[in-house]
Amino acid sequence: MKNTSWVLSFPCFEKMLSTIQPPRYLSRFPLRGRTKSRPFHILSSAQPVTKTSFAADQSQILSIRDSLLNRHLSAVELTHSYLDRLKQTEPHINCFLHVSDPDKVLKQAQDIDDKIKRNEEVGPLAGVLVAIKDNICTADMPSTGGSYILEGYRPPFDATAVKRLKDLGAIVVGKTNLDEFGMGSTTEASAFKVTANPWDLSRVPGGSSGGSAASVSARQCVVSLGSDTGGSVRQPASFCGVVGLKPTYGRVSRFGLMAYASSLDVIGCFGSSVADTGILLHAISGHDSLDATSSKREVPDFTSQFTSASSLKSRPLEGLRVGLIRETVDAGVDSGVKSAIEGAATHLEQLGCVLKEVSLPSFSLGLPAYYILASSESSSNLSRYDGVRYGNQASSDELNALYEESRAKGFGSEVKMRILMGTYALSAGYYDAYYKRAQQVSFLLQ
Amino acid sequence: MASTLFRTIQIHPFLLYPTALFSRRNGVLCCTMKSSQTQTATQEKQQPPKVKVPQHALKKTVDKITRDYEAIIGIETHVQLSTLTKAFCSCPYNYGSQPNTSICPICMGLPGALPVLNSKVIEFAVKLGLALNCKLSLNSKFDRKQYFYPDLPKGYQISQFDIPIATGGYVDLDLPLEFGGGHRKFGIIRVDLNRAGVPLLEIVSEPDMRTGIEAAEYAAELQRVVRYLGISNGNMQEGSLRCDVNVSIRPVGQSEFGTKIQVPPFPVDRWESGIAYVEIKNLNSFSSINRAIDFEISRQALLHSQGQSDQIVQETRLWEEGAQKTVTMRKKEGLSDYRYFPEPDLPEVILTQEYVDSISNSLPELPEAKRRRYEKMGLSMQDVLFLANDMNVAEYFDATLSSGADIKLAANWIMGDIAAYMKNEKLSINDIKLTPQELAELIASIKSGTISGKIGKEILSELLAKGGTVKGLIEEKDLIQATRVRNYRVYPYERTELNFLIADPVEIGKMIDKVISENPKQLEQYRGGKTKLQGFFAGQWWFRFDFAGLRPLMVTPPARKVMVVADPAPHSAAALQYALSHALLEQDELILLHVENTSSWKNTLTTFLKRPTIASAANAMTPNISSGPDWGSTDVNFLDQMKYASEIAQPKIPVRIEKIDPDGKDKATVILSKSKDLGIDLIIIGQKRSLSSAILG
Repeated sequence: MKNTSWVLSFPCFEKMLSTIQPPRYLSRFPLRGRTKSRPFHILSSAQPVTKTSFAADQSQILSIRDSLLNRHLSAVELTHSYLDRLKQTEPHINCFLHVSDPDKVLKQAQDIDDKIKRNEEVGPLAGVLVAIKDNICTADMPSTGGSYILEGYRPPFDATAVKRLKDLGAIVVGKTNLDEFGMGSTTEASAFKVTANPWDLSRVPGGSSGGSAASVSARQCVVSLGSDTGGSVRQPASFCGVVGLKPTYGRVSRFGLMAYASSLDVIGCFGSSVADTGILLHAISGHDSLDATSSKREVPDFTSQFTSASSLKSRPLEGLRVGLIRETVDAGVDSGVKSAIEGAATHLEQLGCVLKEVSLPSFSLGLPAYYILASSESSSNLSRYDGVRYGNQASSDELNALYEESRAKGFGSEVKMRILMGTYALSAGYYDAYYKRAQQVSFLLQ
Repeated sequence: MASTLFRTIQIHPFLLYPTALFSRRNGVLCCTMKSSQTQTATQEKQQPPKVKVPQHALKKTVDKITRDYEAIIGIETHVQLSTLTKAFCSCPYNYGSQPNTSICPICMGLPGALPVLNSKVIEFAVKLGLALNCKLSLNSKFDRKQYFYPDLPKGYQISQFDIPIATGGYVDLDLPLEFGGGHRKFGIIRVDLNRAGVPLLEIVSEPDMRTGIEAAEYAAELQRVVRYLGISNGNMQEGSLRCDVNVSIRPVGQSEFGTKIQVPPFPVDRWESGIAYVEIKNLNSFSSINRAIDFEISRQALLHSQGQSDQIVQETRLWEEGAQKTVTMRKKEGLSDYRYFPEPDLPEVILTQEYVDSISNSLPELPEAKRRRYEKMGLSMQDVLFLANDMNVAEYFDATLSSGADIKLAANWIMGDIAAYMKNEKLSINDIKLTPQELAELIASIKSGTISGKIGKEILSELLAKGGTVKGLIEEKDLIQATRVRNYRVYPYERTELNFLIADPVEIGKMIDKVISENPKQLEQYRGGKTKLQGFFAGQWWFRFDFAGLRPLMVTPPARKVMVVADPAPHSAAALQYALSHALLEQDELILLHVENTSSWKNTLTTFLKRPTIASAANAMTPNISSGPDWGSTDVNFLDQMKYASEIAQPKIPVRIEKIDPDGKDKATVILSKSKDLGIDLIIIGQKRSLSSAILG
């Protein structure tokens, strides 16, 4: 169940290997400045990122930094261009549950410009506009998790990941829509709005991090944070044609992420390039004393793994062995997905990889185990939303009625279903048959 | 605590007194009946009609009931740890602080907040596990116990379920004599880390106890252990030590306890499955544990005996201190399903053997070991229990001994005057100014004859209040006394000569001569036949020695045997009091003679023990049960209490208990013949009329 850092969803893989263009539909909302996407490649040789030849080519984050430090562009100008685009596109796409006050955002940009003017050090993410999935806590704006039960709730703290981004100079542009508490795969299960796919407004952006994926895809922000419990970063990334990265469990602190299934939840990254997602992951990774499950392993410098396309050999991945999991291309897989995977495989072969089909017999156990574990843990994690201390509270004279009313009105149907399922699976007499077995599968898959 | 107990009984003399059911006496049986009819409103209908039953018949009934049933009692104890911060966040924890002042997103369970374990909690759990002789789990984990409650922000407790940090230990303790004495071993099933927020350890005992006393003694021992370990203040009033008691009874010879047998759907390794039990909560003191259990046993036994055992159901009952009874709090319809599952937010608790060993090596001497050591020193069980009860007192005692003090004398001073002083001033032994070294010095000074016991007491009270050294005070005092005596023109010597005088009989003789020569008129009258004046001279003689702070070594009045006729009645108490304060001298021996009769004494016994002059010392240092007089009151108990009070008031006087069976004879005759047998010099008998007119006989 727990993937290693660099596993990307397959459909996305194909996009990643070719040029990413802004969705056609949105081409009528041009971006000002120099922030447009460019082709990029993964390379294994290490090169210092400060060499701007690579930076400007492949990473928006690095190109922004380059432009700011070289005074080609001010942070205020850059911010204006994104805010304008956001203002223009948002009514059509509905990515955001909350958009930061433009004045505050511009003020932060101004501060960066002032610092640069004074030749002071600015953080590596200075001027980078970040959107945050709304189940990740932010101190100065609402965090609802897409649930009516937390409507208007403002946490008193920043999630560790958000705090790290802010500390590095990033500017939070808003909170993105999601399936309630991350439970869904279309972003339609949000209590507040439905987000459209920027490529085709009649389609869904995937989910649950649909808002985060769509906002990057629509260039409303540079990068965004999402969360992934059972595909909630990878799947919307593929739907929206952006790079989505689900880190290894424990790589990123979960502190401040509203828990859905604690043993599976991870905060993930969206960007329009692998380089940007890598830089973003690097920024938020590492041990956190506030999350006992966060890994103490050293964080490698992912950015040093990238290099300019111009310095590539003809077959840069020569000798790399890649396994193609048979069960993922078996019967039942959509032919379009299948051909995309095959295309990616062919591409890898062209780059020098040796592809081999492998079989993972336990693969089919993953989904059922996921359903049991995730719903069981969510039934427990969502107990705290009882209307007593925060969020929406139903008026009632009696305690149990208060719980019942608050939760009945506050939760959507998908959430209720999963709470019921999880409560059942953990109940005496069923625990061994469901939760315990699912846990055994989970250990097996790890 | 003990004094509270007396008061309660004084105020409610006719409430159900559970031990009465098990007592061999019949004085309060009518009370038992009366109270059983007011147990719960719901049961009132099933009560049999009020019938006047002769007392002896009732007694037989109740005796039969108690004989026919045996109880098993298990205790779940929750110990609130005295960590600086809460278990899973860095908020400080202070008892009594304003609500909502020590909170953070983590303990409030805000969305996105995660628990992080306070490592001190693990350390304390390991300490307690080792102290209770448990096997430690090197790999244990946390689980979520789920239920909704307003004081539970996350909707679950972080607890330990199937793998507790420690299992399979035991508690060794000695019951005090008044509770029958003897050694008991109570099994510990598990010690686990229990509940988030304010850190709590849970200790689950085996159902090894059979009576309220045993249960209360077990709880008291746990309190001592956690205090010795320094992991909790153990205060029951603050709720830092909470005991939930499970009681079940069965007819003797039957293999199953309880009536409604419910096998828990979730195999909690608590009790052998199939035992239904009544859980009692709201027990705020050891005495309430004792009384609540005994009440519950008698309640269940009565229901059983009346064929209403179906009324005994698995439920939680509340102990009502005011009414001295248990009432239904909530009935359990099957066991609650807490839907335990492993806490995903916390990693496993992994202990290394080195860590466990390092904690094991740093454990202090525990109460049981301390008691064994004191016992080997030759101290009485009463002394051992008193001294080892409070770690600070024990440390003080040990420090006094290591300064060279005599064991028995040190114990007597600490348990007597020092304890009384602490009680009066509401101080702990750490607050008093007297150092153990000076106490040792004081004891040595008295023992060597440098000062008298009386002066020793005076010096002690100054040392307690102001500090200083014994030597300094003796010097200071001597100077003052010498001046005062000189003003009276009866004492012409300098201090240096005084010291010489003490040991020299010739000089003492000279002093006697001086007294005589200074009072020629009285001498003449004496010679003229007024022999009563002998007392006057003796007084003069004593007077200067006393004032000089000296003990007349050479002139010791002959040791006498003083007999006090002991009954559990106020006049007898007054007699003992008189004896202790007026009649007894240090060389004397006190004999408590009890003529065993069947007169009612229960209520009057407490009157005696309430008397502050004698009982205050006994109450001073016993915050728990070890000296409570109402614990299973028997005649043995009251005599022990009288003996104990005597030892506290006059530590140096040996006390002996004599019992005699009147065998049909007149009581006075029996007493006189016994006193002749024993060679008694002085008999003191209390007069029944009133306390103030107690006379010498």
